[in-house]
Amino acid sequence: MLRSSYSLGVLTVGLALSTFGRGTGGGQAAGRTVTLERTVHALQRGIIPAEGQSPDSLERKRRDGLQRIVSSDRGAAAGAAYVPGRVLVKFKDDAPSSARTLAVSAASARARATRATLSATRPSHANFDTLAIGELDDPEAVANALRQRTEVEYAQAAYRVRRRFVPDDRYYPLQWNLPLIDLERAWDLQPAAGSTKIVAVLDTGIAFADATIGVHAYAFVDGDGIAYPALGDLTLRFVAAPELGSSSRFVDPYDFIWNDNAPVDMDGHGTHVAGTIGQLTNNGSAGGDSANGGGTAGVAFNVKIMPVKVLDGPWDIIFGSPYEGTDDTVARGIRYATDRGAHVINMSLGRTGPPSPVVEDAIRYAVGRGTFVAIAGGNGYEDGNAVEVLAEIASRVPGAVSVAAVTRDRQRAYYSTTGSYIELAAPGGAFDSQGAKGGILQQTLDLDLVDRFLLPPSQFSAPRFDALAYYYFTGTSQATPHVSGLAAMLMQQGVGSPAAVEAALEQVAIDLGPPGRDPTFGYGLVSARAALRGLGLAR
Amino acid sequence: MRSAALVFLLATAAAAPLHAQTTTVAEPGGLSIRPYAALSMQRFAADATFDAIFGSATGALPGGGVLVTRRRLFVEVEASRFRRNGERAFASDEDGFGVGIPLTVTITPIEITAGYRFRQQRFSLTPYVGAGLGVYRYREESPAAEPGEDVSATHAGWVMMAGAERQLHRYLAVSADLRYTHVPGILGQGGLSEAVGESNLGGLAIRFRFIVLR
Repeated sequence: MLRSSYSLGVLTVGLALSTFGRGTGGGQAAGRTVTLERTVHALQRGIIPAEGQSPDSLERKRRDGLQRIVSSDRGAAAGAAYVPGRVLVKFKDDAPSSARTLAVSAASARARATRATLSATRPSHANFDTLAIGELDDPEAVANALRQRTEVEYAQAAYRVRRRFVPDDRYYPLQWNLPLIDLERAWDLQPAAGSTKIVAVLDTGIAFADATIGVHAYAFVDGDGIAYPALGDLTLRFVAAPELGSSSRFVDPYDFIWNDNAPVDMDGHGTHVAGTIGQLTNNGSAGGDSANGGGTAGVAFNVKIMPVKVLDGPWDIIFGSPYEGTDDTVARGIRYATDRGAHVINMSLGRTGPPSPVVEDAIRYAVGRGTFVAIAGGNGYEDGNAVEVLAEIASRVPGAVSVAAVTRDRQRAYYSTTGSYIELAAPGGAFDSQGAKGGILQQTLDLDLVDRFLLPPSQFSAPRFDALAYYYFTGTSQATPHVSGLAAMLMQQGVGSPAAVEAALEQVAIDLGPPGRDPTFGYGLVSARAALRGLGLAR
Repeated sequence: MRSAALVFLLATAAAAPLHAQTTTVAEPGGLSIRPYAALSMQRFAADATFDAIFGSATGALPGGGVLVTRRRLFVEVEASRFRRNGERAFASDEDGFGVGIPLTVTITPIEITAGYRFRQQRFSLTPYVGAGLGVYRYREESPAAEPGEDVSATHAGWVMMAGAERQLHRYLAVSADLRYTHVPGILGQGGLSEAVGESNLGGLAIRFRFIVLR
């Protein structure tokens, strides 16, 4: 799990828990009772981002400056574009046809139009007429001349109206990370946004279903040697994150930590990652998360999500989960997702240390069966910059990529590990110079109610997994789902092989740092529109 | 360049007089102007690029021109056109793969070629060789393009050819020749051609002509 930190001043604590009664992979398994249901509703608590985005921000200017002009259009003086060859004109009702004809003749002569012919029939659902002029004539000049005539109420060129898909989710303006990879124009190319593809999220689970789960909370001692009491038997309520969509969106969920089919998130990391991949988008005015006006947007917002829990969080440990987040668990998760038809596997996880042949074997198995794999490059730059073992595997397997993190100004995030194995970069954010808003915003569990183990033993209490909030996270964990979502969109577009997806992403990546591939950014920052649009012969 | 050398060798071989023969069509002593229609089947030198985008590196270029002869010398001016729809693509290793975004490419060569017509040979064939220059207009359009993303470029190139002509009728002759064109400056500076390292928009073509005799 490569989340480096999250907002509200709460730093991720490397909780070294020594537990009592914890099973060890295949041994005495602690039990839990799971009841999946759809009857409870998430408590929407804590909207972390409250301020609007600065109107002079680069992202805002980029959005406002979006132009979608087809090649036959011409540029107008005011920066708009018009279709050549015609002018729209509305004559005053009392203008006789002879006066209209005279007005057209005079105006076209004044504007030096080569021809000007009023359409014999008015377009349907129109109270104006269309004047055909020469392809090379200036329709704005003709319209100006027409407007001088007393018979004319108004006249204008046929300015191009274009689709501008900017999601209406309430917090989308805070998601600098999506415009940074040119995603808005990519959505214009592919409105379906990966609708037939499955992305497996190998993580801490996902808040994907409403459920009631009975567990036993054992006593434990934290990394500082402080003893926490047992909470005994607990019945915990879990809710689905409404912004991840209905239950039909999730396919083949599985929990390799508890060895059942209820990979609920008891940490918040997996839900956040899944949101960046596929959070419901443009649902701000269509119901959605009504309390938050659609909340945030995701990259491939129509993909199906396969929750595969391969990482254990502190509560999994306290509850005595039978399995842990180890190489074998991850390898089984990769093979499971592949066998269940995942097109993309997102692995916002990693480790340093000795090689992992078991995971490498699984990654090669996945890629060999057509599944693209994206792996976090690691957050350990300031901790010795050790080689991330799983990410390093990706660099040797065409069809698997390792992902570094950049900030909103396209600089290396201070934590992002560097090395020759880095292949691509994506927004991971940083809090250092830009505050919390430099992070990646998504909905996840309300961490105030989850991370109760961070409190002193006297205040320690059972967690709640039925409340959600929007948090800024940073890390290569947050960068990786951008690549996974984009890979799903590429596959949606017909790029079938994982190696081809990787080649596409790398060939059009925006080169950052020294020219060419480098250890910091790899081939560069992923570029969504360029990847979906592909290359022509000459450009 | 290997293809160019091959063309030259073919031309040289075809031009060698085999033996004395009877001339059935008199070589015109004065100026002769002959319009013709042509069809070239070209194998583009940028074969990886064309193959990825169009599924084939071969294309037809219909066209027409005027052949002017005086004694054994000739000059011809020809315009032709290649237009094909494909899809934008990437290349991975040796393979190309499309991404489903349509692409239309139009190439309009205008070439002027001068050469030498040999004595008529067996089967009433008149071999010829020639070389010349061309102006090649290139357009690349995609419906998803934003301003500046489509390509419209023109560049000069050169052509060399060798072939033979045969008179079929008092007013009609046919010819077939091999042509090699080299067109730098358009490909290789962006797009897929840059990614795969191809920079020649030309290629090797076989051209058939129907020539009107007057």
